[in-house]
Parts: sequence; C-alpha cells; structure tokens
Amino acid sequence: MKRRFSFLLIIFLLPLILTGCWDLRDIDQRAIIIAIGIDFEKTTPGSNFSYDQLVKLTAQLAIPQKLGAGAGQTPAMGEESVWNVSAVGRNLSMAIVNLQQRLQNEFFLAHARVVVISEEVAREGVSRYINFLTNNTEFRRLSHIVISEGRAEDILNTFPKTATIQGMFLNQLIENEVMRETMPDIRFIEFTIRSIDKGIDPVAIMVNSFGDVVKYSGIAVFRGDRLVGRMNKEEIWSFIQLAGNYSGGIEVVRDIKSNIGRITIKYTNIDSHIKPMRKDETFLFKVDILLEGILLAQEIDTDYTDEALFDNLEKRVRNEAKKEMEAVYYKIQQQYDADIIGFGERVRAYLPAEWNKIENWREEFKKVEIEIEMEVKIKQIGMYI
Amino acid sequence: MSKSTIKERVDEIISNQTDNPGKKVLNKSLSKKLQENLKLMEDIIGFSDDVVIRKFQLGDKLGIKAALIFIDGLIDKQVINESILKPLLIEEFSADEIRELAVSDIIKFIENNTMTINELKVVDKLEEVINGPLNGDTVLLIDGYEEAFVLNSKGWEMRSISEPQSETVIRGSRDGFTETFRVNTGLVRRKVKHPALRIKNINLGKYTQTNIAICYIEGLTNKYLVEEVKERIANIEIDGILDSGYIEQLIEDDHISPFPQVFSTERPDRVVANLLEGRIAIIVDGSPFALVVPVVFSIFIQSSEDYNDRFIIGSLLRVLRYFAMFISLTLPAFYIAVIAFHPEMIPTRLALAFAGGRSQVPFPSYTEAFIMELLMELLREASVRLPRSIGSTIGIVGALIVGEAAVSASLVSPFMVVIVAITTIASFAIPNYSTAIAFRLIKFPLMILATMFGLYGLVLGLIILSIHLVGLKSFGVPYLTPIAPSRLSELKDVVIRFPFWSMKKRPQHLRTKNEQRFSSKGDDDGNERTR
Amino acid sequence: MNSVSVVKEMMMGMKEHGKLTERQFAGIIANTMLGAGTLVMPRTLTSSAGTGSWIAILIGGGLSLFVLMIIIKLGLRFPEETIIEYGVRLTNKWIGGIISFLLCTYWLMISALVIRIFASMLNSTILLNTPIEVIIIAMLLTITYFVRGDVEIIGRINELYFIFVIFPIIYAIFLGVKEIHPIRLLPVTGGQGITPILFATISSFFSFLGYEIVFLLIPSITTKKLAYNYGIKGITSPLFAYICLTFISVGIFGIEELQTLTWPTLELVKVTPFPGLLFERLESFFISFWVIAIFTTSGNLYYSSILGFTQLFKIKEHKTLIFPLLPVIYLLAVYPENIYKVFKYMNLLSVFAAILIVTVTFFYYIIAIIREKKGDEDS
Repeated sequence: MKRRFSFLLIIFLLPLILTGCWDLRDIDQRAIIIAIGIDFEKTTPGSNFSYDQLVKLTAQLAIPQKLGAGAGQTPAMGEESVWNVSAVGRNLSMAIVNLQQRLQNEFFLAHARVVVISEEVAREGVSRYINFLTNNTEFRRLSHIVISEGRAEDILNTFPKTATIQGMFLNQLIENEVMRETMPDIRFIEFTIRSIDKGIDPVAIMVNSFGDVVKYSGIAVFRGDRLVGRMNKEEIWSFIQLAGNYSGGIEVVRDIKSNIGRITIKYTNIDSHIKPMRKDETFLFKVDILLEGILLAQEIDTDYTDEALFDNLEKRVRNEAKKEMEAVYYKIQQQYDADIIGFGERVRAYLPAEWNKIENWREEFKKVEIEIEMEVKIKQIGMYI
Repeated sequence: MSKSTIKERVDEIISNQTDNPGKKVLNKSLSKKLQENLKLMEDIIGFSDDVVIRKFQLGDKLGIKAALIFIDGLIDKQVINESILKPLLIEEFSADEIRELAVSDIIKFIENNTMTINELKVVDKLEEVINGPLNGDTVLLIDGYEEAFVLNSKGWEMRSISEPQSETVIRGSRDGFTETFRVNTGLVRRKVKHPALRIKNINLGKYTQTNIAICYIEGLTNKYLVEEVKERIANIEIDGILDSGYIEQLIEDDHISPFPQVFSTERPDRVVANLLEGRIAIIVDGSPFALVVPVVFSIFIQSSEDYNDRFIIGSLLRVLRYFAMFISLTLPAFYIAVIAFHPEMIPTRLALAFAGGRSQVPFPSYTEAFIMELLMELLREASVRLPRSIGSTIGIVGALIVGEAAVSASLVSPFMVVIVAITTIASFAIPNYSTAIAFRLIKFPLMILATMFGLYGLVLGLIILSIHLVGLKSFGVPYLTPIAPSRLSELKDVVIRFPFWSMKKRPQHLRTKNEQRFSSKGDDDGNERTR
Repeated sequence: MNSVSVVKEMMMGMKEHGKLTERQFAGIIANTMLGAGTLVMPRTLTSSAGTGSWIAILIGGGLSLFVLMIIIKLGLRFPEETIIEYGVRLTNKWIGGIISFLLCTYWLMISALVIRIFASMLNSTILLNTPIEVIIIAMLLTITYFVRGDVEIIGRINELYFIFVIFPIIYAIFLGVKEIHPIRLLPVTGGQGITPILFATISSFFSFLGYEIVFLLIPSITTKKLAYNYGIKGITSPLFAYICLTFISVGIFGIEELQTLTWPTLELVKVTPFPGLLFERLESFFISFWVIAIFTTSGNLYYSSILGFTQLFKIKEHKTLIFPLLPVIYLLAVYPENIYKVFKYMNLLSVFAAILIVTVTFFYYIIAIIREKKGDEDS
C-alpha cells in the first residue's frame, strides 16, 4: 500500500517538471553578439524626447548561416559575415530593448569580446553603462573595453581585409599586443574593480580607424569612471613599466661613440617594486626598477665588447628610461590627477594605519613625491657582434 | 491401457522427477520379464519413431533374450555397434558356464567381463531406465532379470570449439564454450588441473532437465557463498531452462535494474580467472555462456587482454574503455545541454559553426538527437538479424548513407551525425554486451533530463544512476566495490591494472579462505624482488 | 530468498559490523560542510576583517575542530547510541526530547535553505526562466531517492562523491593563483585592528557548521577508535578549502569589489581562463559539480533529520517519514521571498544552531561526567 502511494505521488509530481523546458533555446535561435559599441546620439529636434542626448547601442551580430560548416563552401569574411545593428534609447537598457525589437532571435551576450565606448561617452562616465554588463551573468568578464576616438560604430564598421569576423579581429589585435607586453592587460573585470577601488584608477585602450584599418592610438586615462586624458605609445611603455610590471616596447638612444647613429634596445623583462614611505605631510614612493633588454639594432658599427662602452650604453639607456618615466609620472599627477599607477593601493597595503586616516586620496595624490632608482641590463646583443 | 491412465502415469512420473533433484520418489522397479518391461517403457516413452528397440539374444546358444533401447540422434552408433552389441552377440557364452552361474552372477558377469564400454551403471528403478535413453545413453534389458544396464553411448553432432563471437581479443586464447555440457566442463578442467576444482551437477527444468554445473575451487572459495549459490539454484522451479540467461534472471538480486548482476562469458579463460579469485562459475548445458558470481561493476569493463598484455598497455586500454563507457552514456545528453542551454561553453568559432550547421534544420536540437539516436538503435538491432555476409556491409553503408542523406535533406545537422557516430562507436568498446545495452538504454532518460534542465538535469540523472548502482548487490557484495565502499588493496585492478607482482591479495570482498595469490616475483610488501 | 541471503551474508561475514567505514565517515563530514557556503563564503567571511580574514578563518576553523572532537568524545561514551537515544538517557524524556527535536528541525530547515540558495543561484545564472519551484522539486526528488537507502548507501555515495565535490575548489584554487594581484592581499592583518578579526572569527565559526551530524553517526562506524583520526581528516579539507578560496578571491578581486559580488566563487571561475581547452566559459561545467556538492550537503542533512525524528518518535522504518516530510521541506525551501531574506534566515539559523550545538555538546558531556562520577561514588 505504502509503495503504491509513493509511486503514485511520484507520478503526479513528474508532470510538474515535464510541462516545459523553460530555458531551452537552441543555439541557432540566439543572436550571437560579438562586439558592442556605445555612442551618444543627438535627438532630432522636434521629437518628443525630453532629453537631448540618447544612447546609441550598436551590436555586431555574427551571421551563422554564412559562417556555418558547409562542405566545400568558403566561409564569408568581413562585411558579409557580420551585421551591425543599432538602436537608441535614453539609457543602455532602453537601447537594448529597442534593439531586441529589431532582431529575430534573442540577445546572447556570452560571446561578446569587445565593448567599444566612444570618447564622448567615456568623458561623461562609463559606470552607468558598465553596470548593466557587470550585472549580466552571460557577459564575459574577460572581454576588453576599448575607447574609440571617434564614434564607436565606425570602429565596428571597419573591416580589415584579413578579418573573418570583425569583433574577433579586434579582440585578437588587443590580445597580441598584450602578449608582447606593450599594452596593459586590463580586462573588463579589472576595469570594474579599478573604477571602484579608491586606491587605483583604470585605463583603457584607445583605438581609431580610417579606411579599413583599425589601430591603436594610445591609452585612455580615467579618474574613477571618467576619461580625463590620454597617453601615447612611448608614455604607455613607461607607464606599464612603472605600474604594471610589463616590459614595454623599445628604447632608442644615441650611440656612445658617435652622435649620429642610434642604438635600439628592446625590453624583455622587468622587475619593479614600489614602496610607500611617509615624508613630512605627504608620502614618498621609492621605486626600484630593474630592466632587462636586448640589443635590437645598431646603426653605427661601434664595438661594444669593450666593457666601459657597454656600461656607458646601459647608463645612457637608463637615463633615458628614467627621464621618460618621470615625465609620465608628472603628467599623470599634475595634468590628469588620476592614480593609474596604484600608489593608493600601496599605501593601503603597507601603511594601513595611514590609509585609514586619509579621507580623499585624490587630494593626497597631488602632493606625493616619487624617487626612481633604475638599473638597466642589456642581456643579449643579437647575431651581430 | 486407457489413455487417461497413461497420461496420469506419465504426469505422475514426470512430476515426480522434478522434485528436488536427488530425491528418488519413483520407486517403481523393473519386472523380471522383458516383455513387461518393454510394455512399461512403451507406455511412458511412447516409442516415438526415433526410439529404437533392438531385440537380440545373449550369446550364441544361450537363448537369453535381451533388448537395447536407445534414441537415434543422441547416440554414437559406433559405440553401440562395437562396444555393446559386438561383445554381447559374438561372445561365446558357454552354456555350461552360464548355467552354473547364479542369477545375479550373470549380471555381474555381463557387467564386469563383457562389454568394452567406458561408463556403465546397473539400475533397477524405472526412472533411471527412462532417463537413460533421453540423455543419450543406451539401456540394456535382459529377460529374467530385474536389473538393467545404462550404458554411456552419447554422441551427437555438435559445434566445434570456435572463437567466441561476442568477445574477441587480439592476444589471448581463441577457444570458447559450446553448447555441449561436457565439452564446457572439459574446457574448465583443462585450465584448472588442481584436484580442488569441484564440479557439482544439478538438473533443472521440468521438461528440459538441463544439466547445470556449479564449479568452484574447494578451500579457496568461501563456503557460505557456495551454499548460497547452490540454494538459489535449487530453488528454481521452471518448465525449462533454455539458456544460462534464464538462470541468471532467476538467481539475481535485483530484477528491475538494467545492470547485470551476474557475469556471463563465452571464454573459459575469463571463467577460470574468476574462479581463481574466489568466485563461482555456473555452466549450463545448451548454452555457450557460462555465468560467474558474485560480480562487481569493474568486471564488466575488463577484458582478458588486460591481463595478457603488459600492465601499462592493459591499464591504458582500460582507461580508454572507462572513457568510452562514459561517452556512450552521456554524449548526446551533453550535446543537447550545451547546444540548447549553455552555448557559452563552446569557443565562439565553434559555436558559430554549430549555429550555421543547425540553421537549416527544422527541428530543435533535442528532436534531432532523439531521431538520430533512435535511428541508430534501429540500425543496430536490424544488423544483428542480418546474415553475416550482408550484416556488416549494411551496417556501414546504412549508417553512412542515412547520415549523409539526412544531412543533405536538412533533417539533422552534421554535428549530430558526428555525435551519434562517436556514441555508437564508444558503446562498441564496452566488452560486455549486457552492460553496453544497459548504457545504451539509460542514455535516453539522460537525454530527456538534459532537455529539461540542461547540465543540471544531466547531473541529477547521473546522481540518480549512481545511487542506484551503489545500492545494487550481487550475492551480498556491493556492486561498486572497490570504489564505494573503497578498499585500497582492491583498487589495484579497477581502472589501472597494476603489475602482477603487486597484486598479491585476492579481492577482499569475496572473503576467500586463502588471501594470498601465490606470487613468485614479489616479496611480502608487494615490491618487485630484483634478481 | 532474501531473508536467507541476509542470514548467509552475516554468516559469511560480508556484512560489516557497523556500516560505515572510516573513509566514509570523513567523507560525510567533508561533504556536508562543503555546501552552500562555498558559493558565498569569500564575501561573507571578509566583510568585517578584510584582508585579515584568513586569521579569523583559521581560528574559527580551529574552534570548529575542537567542538568536533568533543562531539566525537561524547559520542564514543555511548558507542551504540545516537544523541537522540543517549540524550534521553542522560537527562529526562522531556529535555532530551526537546533538544533532539530542535536539532532535527534545524537540520531540516538548513537542508531546505541550502537547496534554496543553490536554486537561486541557478535561477540567476544558467536556468533563468525555469521556475525556482521546479528546480527545487527536481533536487528534492533526487534527494528523496537518496534518503530511502540505509546509512550504508549514504556512506558509499559520500565516499564516491568526495572527489567531485572537492574538485572544483581545487581547480579554482590552482587556476586562480595565477590571477592574484598580491597587493590586494595586503595588509595581512587587515589594518583595522583586532576587533574586526575577533568579530570575523565568531562569524566564521557560525558558518562552519555541518560536522554536527556526527551526533548521529558514531554508532554506525566500524572501527570506533579511528573516529578521531578520520574526524580530523574530514573537517580539515573543507576548512583548508575555505581558507584558500577566500585567500584567492581576495587576491583577485580585492576586498571592495568582493563585497559587491553576489556569488563570488562563481565570479572567480569566470575570470580564470584555462588556456587552450575545448571549452571556454566553464561556469556551467562547474555548476554541475556544485550540484553534487549541494546534493550531498542537503541530502546528508535531510537524512540526519529523518533519522533523528525516527529515533525520537520511535518509528521503525525511517522510510515512513520521507514522504510526510517532503512537503515540509519543500515549503521551507520556497518560503523566503527573495535572496536577501534567504541570506538573512541562513545567518540567523547558523547563529542559533551553533549556540545550540555547542551548548548541547558541553551540557551532555558534563552531565555524562557527573553521572560517571556518581556511579563511581555509589559503587
């Protein structure tokens, strides 16, 4: 009797579960978004919006039919393989809703790799747009945030010739640079963390495009979540040497013996330590850097097997690097007032008592001093001696 | 005699025969008169047209009437002609010698001094006289005597020992059991030449009177286990045993589970290997599949090659088989779960390829999967029925063509075909047929669960499956020993096979009397002794 | 046929004396503790003490270990009885009965809450449209099938699943180590003084419950004297896992961000890429393993609750209680209206339970010692 009853109970409960597969959505019923672009759009005068500025969302969808595995078909490339759709709304959520209305399938953000935000938008503050993505569970935390000099949708509409899928191309471009250690590796999650963290400010990669080429144009410096400035390539290298333990790019110095020729050194390795100390009313940061590089090219046939010359060369490189670093540092501090190097973090880490006393780190940051001790070692000299 | 009386008598005799074997109820004796005996037998056996009665006279001048009864088709004619008839007919019985012998002595004389037959029994019960010809023996009735002789003249057409069809190995013996009882027991005897091997017979089946043998090694196997096996078999009451599968189903612990709790094999080397570990084998006449109890799950994934090859190879192949087992169970469900619920798991390019492949297909992914899987099962079942020569060709051709055609007709996506092909191939890698079937069947409920809840459903399904497996028992031994409950000493033979010199102990779960396997290479700690 | 086999089995010695091996004992403890906590602990444990939380966890864990040892000691005094039975013997029917009733109810409620937390997570991450009731029912049905078995089955399943429960944590730890920014782990002591650390210690002690089902398990263990040994083994793996997990979460996210994440461990998995593997976003894969962890946790707790009630009300078969209690646990699971309430109830319940368990343990222990002394005096 008991057995019958329990059996019947199970039978009655099962239909509750079997009535539907609520979350089942086949992959070909999802709109796979590869990249997102966020712009501002002016409202047309006379329309009934009470704002004069709308958010324009551009989504780059992949067209699976063109990219599918067909026997013997050449896959589509560039323009044919993706479709850029746009919609406007008064904030990002509204824009998304409007965008969804133009799509046959439902949004699927999980494969989105790049978020392009126009400089305009970034200057106003990105967090209100980012928050939607942070809260979204599908969105990749390891995607990249990119700031575009012009409009974001222009970036998404540029189709380099070797790009199968444009968004993936962008993504690959960034990742290659990061691998070469010439760009900081700030992914989405890191960006979010830094924009919240009081002790460090985020940076993001800037790109621009013309014709069918997309390229870097520097780094965007943020204070909190607002864009306040930018740095160019050489500055970036000094910055990431200082802050990020990345070895940066190349250094070109003048030859020791002659004034015409130049020596190019490529940095391969870096070891950097920053320690905060209290000094008078403010802080002093001692920076200890050891840079290693290889000799990439020399234009004049100076013989560097001579030790004295070699040491001299290293010293010269060191001086150059140090100068550039200090220049970058002052620019960040004085001009932008954004602690992208993370001095605040260090104070919190090593001098917690002091950190607790500080109310506004940005104020303090204006006053801090820096002392750089650098050493350069050239480890290899290439094939030519 | 009236028909009803005959029928009653037949029923009475037959029903008496099937009580606990060994119990003699039928005490009907033979009479001294040959004619009466023959009449009795005619009533019972009915003298179908294949029953032969050869009447003759003993000796040249003696004049004692005798009769041979045997059933054509079960006997070796040579034996009857040469070993029975010839000595009895041609032998010169000196009339004087015979008359001087007492009555019983003649029987003794015939028993001891005349026939050159290898097996001979003197009987006086009707039951045995009837059973004799039915089993292939010849009955010798002599007029004037109550005793009869049952002579072994078995001989019939049988299949020669050939490679087992269901379990092929690359390295290992190629002989397999046949349908003949004594051949099978002989195969076991040839591998275990120790006197401690015991083969005990029981007859089961009301009408089939099938010979069943219980084999074990005395002094090694746990005696309570032997008792239990004997008892379970003795308790079987059934019309007929046609195959060892019948016995398997009648002695197993859990009838509902799709997983076999008795191991069946065609290979004598596997049977003997298990006997040596302390298990019990059951051989059934008429079936080339012998049974081994008690079993644990890992036995079904093993193949005798694992032991014949060196341990690294054996271990790697076994790992591969476990992997195959897992794939054959979960791959379609996993596919459904990933495609329909969690497409973020696959790399973007692959996801786009999947989406592209599916874009022309009108069905949702789970329908696709079910259709293809059902089709595959259909193909498999069909190819089993086909004659050998066409079978494999149709299998391959069928699969290829159906797959291709289905893809071109946009019925299924090409990925589905790949998935189904991999699943099917994986299920062929499982050595034991019953287990492979069990997995094939269970993958369908898992697919349903994956359709409802994605990976969550698949995991819940696997949890339920493992709860079921953990609770299964085979003759008191938990099915998933030695994984759960874990016994470290036995883990040496589950996924990876450790080398012989380190597998010193017999499996603990069998509670054998003698725990050490005899090992010459290792010392007591299971380490290799260097020469 | 079955009863004959049972007798034969016992004669054959194939049935164990007790029913749980030592490894199963350790497995049950570890699995029960590694449940819903793994999902949220990095956030909850670091809310007060920041980067100094690891000290708090260590001490809190040590306290839990201590309490576990006392529980085992107490249980070994009455090696064939569970706490329900010897509780009534030590005190009277009413006090023992009420304590046991409270314990069993607590287990039932925690089991329901654990399921609810996990179902909420599933609902907000991978099964967004499925009604939460359905997710809960699916898990409950599985647990029901599990609980029908004897303690042998419970033990075997826990033993089997331990690997699967601990695997995602190990994986997350090993892959997460790469992504740590060491600067976020400093200052080591939290920089806020000793008070937050003390506070965090207490709250971490409250979160480390689960080992108390040992109250019911001692009679079922085969080799009683190994109970201490394996009890320690059972409790150290979850503690170690929690410390490492918290450590790594703080290192990757930093304290501030960590407080904003609802499911920190899940986020941890999202940001740790495994290079070159066939599958990329592994959270769904991980969630599968967590299903197993939650299953063992709530299954063990539900079983303890049923077993306790069975012994309390002197019912013969524990299977009879399964179906009556099923709607109860379901209602408990769906009762909280939103996730905030769920966390709140969880905290309250943990505090209450921890106090109950500690008090009861020491209470019974002291009474046992007193009785023993009295016994000595009398004789």
